[in-house]
Amino acid sequence: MQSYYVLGSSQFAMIENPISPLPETVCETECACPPLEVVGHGLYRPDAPEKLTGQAKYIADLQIPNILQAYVLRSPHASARIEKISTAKAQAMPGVAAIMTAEDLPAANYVPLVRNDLPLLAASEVKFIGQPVALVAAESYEEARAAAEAIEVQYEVLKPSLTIEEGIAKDWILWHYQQFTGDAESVFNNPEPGMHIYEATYTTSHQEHAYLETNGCIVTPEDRGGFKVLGSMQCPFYVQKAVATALGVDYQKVRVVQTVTGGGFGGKEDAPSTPASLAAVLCWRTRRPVRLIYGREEDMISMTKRHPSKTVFKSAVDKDGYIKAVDIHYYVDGGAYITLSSIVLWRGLLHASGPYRIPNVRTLADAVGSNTAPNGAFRGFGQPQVAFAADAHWDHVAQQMGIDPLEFRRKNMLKVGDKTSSGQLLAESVGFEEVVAKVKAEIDYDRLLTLPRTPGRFRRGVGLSVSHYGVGLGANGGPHNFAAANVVVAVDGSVSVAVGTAEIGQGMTTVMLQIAAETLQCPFERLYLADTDTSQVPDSGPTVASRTTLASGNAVRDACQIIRQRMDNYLKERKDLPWREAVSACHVGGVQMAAQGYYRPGYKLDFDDQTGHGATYEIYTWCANAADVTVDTWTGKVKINKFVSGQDIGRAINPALVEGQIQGGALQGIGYALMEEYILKEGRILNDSLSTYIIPTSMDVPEIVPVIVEHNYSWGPYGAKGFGETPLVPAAPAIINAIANATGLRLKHLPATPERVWAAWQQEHSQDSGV
Amino acid sequence: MEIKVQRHTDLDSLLKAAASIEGRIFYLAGGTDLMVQAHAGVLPPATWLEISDVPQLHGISVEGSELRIGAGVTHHEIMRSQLVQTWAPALAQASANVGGPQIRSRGTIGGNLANASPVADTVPALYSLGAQLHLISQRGERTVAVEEFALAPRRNVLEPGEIIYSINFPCRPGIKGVWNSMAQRESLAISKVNIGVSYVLDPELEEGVGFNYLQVAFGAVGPTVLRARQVEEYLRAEPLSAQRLERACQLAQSEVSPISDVRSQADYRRAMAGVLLYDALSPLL
Repeated sequence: MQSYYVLGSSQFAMIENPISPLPETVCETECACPPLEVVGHGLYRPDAPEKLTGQAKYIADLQIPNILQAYVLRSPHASARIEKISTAKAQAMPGVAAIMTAEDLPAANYVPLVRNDLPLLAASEVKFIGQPVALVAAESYEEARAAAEAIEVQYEVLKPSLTIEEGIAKDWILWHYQQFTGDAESVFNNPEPGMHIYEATYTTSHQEHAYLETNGCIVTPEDRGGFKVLGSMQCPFYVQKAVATALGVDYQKVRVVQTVTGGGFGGKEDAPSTPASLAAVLCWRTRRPVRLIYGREEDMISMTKRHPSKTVFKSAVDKDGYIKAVDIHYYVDGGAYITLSSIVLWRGLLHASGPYRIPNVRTLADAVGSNTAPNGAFRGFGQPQVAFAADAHWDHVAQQMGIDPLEFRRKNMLKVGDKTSSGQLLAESVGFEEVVAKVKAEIDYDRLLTLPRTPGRFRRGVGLSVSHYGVGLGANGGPHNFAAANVVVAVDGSVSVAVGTAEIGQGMTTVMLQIAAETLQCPFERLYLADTDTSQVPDSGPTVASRTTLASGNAVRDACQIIRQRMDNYLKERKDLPWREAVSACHVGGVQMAAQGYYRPGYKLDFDDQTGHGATYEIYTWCANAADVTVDTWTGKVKINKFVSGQDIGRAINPALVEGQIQGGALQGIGYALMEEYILKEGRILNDSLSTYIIPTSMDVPEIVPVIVEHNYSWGPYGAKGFGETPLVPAAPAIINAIANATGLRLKHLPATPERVWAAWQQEHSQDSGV
Repeated sequence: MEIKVQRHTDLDSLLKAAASIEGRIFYLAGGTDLMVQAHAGVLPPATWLEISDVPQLHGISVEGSELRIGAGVTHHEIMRSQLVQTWAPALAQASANVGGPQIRSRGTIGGNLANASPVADTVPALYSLGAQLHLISQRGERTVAVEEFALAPRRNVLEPGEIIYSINFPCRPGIKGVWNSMAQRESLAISKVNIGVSYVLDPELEEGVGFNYLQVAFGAVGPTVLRARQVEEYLRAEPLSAQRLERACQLAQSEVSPISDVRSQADYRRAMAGVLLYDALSPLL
């Protein structure tokens, strides 16, 4: 009987292991794992050749006969009551096959998420610009669009609520979480002598995922009253549930096939449920295939983005530099509906006080409503905003107290045996100190910190920021906290690996196959990942929360282990036979050469709503980012000379892919820090194109050095944790702290555009600007 | 949207068609502005004439004492041209910074002018070079100074049936130039402010730096590209010094009249006009 440790509130307990036995390669601390055959090598991506040669078929590339083109009529108002919709004129337009409003829907008028509050089509009111109001299916896109524009909607326009402040004033609170540890209030009310108390407010703007491929799908009618959904997405089983809900049919009547997906970053977690359901109801109505692919502008105005935020951060640090208490109020702008905001808020709450040992914590977290498109999942999921607040804050506090900011973090950083703010004991895999030490060396921190500070136009500085990331859905994962994998070995020795999580460019295919090859002891080239088709793969939970390597990887490993065990039992002394012969012998001998593997979190998870306590995540990834910058004080332009991002990821299944993920995440964080911003006027996005919403190009990429640290996780596949989101989380604060080090400016709003840096400099130095 | 496009491969047939078509005409060369506007749905119904294969609109050559650039020459061709690098260095730099490689391979200098955007990257360079635009229609040819061409955003002096034929300017021995811009990123960016400076130094001057020729223009700081005449006069009056350059930068800041929009703010643009001028001329100090 295998057993494993469970975290209760503070005690270890032994319970029966529901998953696979401990991997043999596990090591507790700094790792000198024996090299493996396949895992740990930078193998090529099987999906690369088709993508690189332009042969990969994205949703817009599919040609389906007799297909109708759909167009969505959207609200032009941020807030209005719908008085009347008249479709008569539009019905008579050429090429029109169907027009639908909320009244014509076959079943539920909502997208199934947390509170089911986002309607598919607005019925009596619209709450954001871009909200779907009516649908048209026509023979051509132009005809569908023309007909949609001929639909007459009478609105009674209302005054919208557009900011976090307005939402608070109106008490439009979508969700609330809180955490109380120790007694923060009494620390602030009765400060010890020499205690440093500081409060500041930090704000952030929206961020757009800017995936290369916009949201889109095709729905076709199938035999026996079924529907097939093809589309660009992260979570095919979310789409299946949404479409089945919209049509009022069993999940199994809806077959969802993920097409090659051009990026997600969280923007295709819940969001594709809307276009898929809209296309599905048109397909239901017309019994013809329907194609709905969003244009860039409509994708930008109506789909999810990173929540804007405001964080009021108050801290108490004792005279020796140890953090004693924090009092944090974290607000996110959820947009017009709850959708996923509660879950985003939860992750923010639990990471708000940062990866530090803090005995007294009071954190209040509110998702505030506004008449803007619902904000949702985006790489980091509520953490980057509050990580910016926290780690810009601590950097400033350290400076105010005359302590080296890195030393300050070292004093307070979490280690094995410490408890997080939720009271969770960190039992293993905390490679934080090693990450910080390596990042410090790589950025040449000590030298940069002591560079003579020359007056003049160009100022150089270095900044650092740290973060932890709870891998997976955690205690808030509800029914999704699992993964399954089906592995089938054919007679010729080729192997099908089927998981329900999705390849969205992150490299899941390669990682799953490497884990399978290692466990089966079979050649990598003989493995095939099954198409992500709900009729062929098991549900493995969503492709989110940096969970795929850990969750689906464990399920794959479990299935492969079962098969390999059966093979070894049968083959006995012949188990070193070449793969093909071994498989053939097993098939002849009647060995069952297929298995389903399963994953559940390695530790028991819980969360208490009142106190904010519990064993919230099974394991954490640890990250430190550092930036070496030069600020042009005349123009406010920040040039990044070098960026270093280090992660303790447990184990790198594919180091080449890990490095790519680190560099991509860091770059997305650099964009968030310096240039990416939506400009809204009365709820309308003014820069709804990629020529005005500015993301970094290849010409903006500085030297980004990835640093991989491997403190194995006992219950990770070959010791791996997940980390896809982590590099982004403390990217912005590292840059903001470097700007502060270079110029003395403490910027409290993201992004730090040249305009803002310049304005801040002007304010502080109105006398000595060069020109 | 369905658009009917007539393709012309000869100047005469093009001008004839342009003269006979009733209603609006759009001339499609690189399409880097026109296609974007068509996608945005802001174009009125019109006949589109495709002109990118009209041979008379191509070619870069020195004719007499003038450099001639056909209106249909792409930014890529301009940035690679030895003639342009020699006789119009500010333009070579501007063309090298338009958009990204794809846009430079399609977009033309004539289109950049005809679009009449105050942000157009090549236009401040053309102002600084004192370019003359040769316009042509079935009625004949005429010449206008580049500064007279754009009237307001998206409005120019072209008459019905008339197109830009070529861009000409004198070959000035010893010409130097600088083009620069402020933008949110390093490539594929629309400028917040841009500058074109062309000058010929005074070889007679024994000490210091003086100008025999100097023209300065800014983009994105007014309804059209703006020639900074006060700055020019001030700088031409006496040899350049650090103090005089600083004063010229202040003059530039007062001479421009920018607005705030999605790309930047008026006060920032105003300040950056001065910094761009400083960066353009401070290497001479």
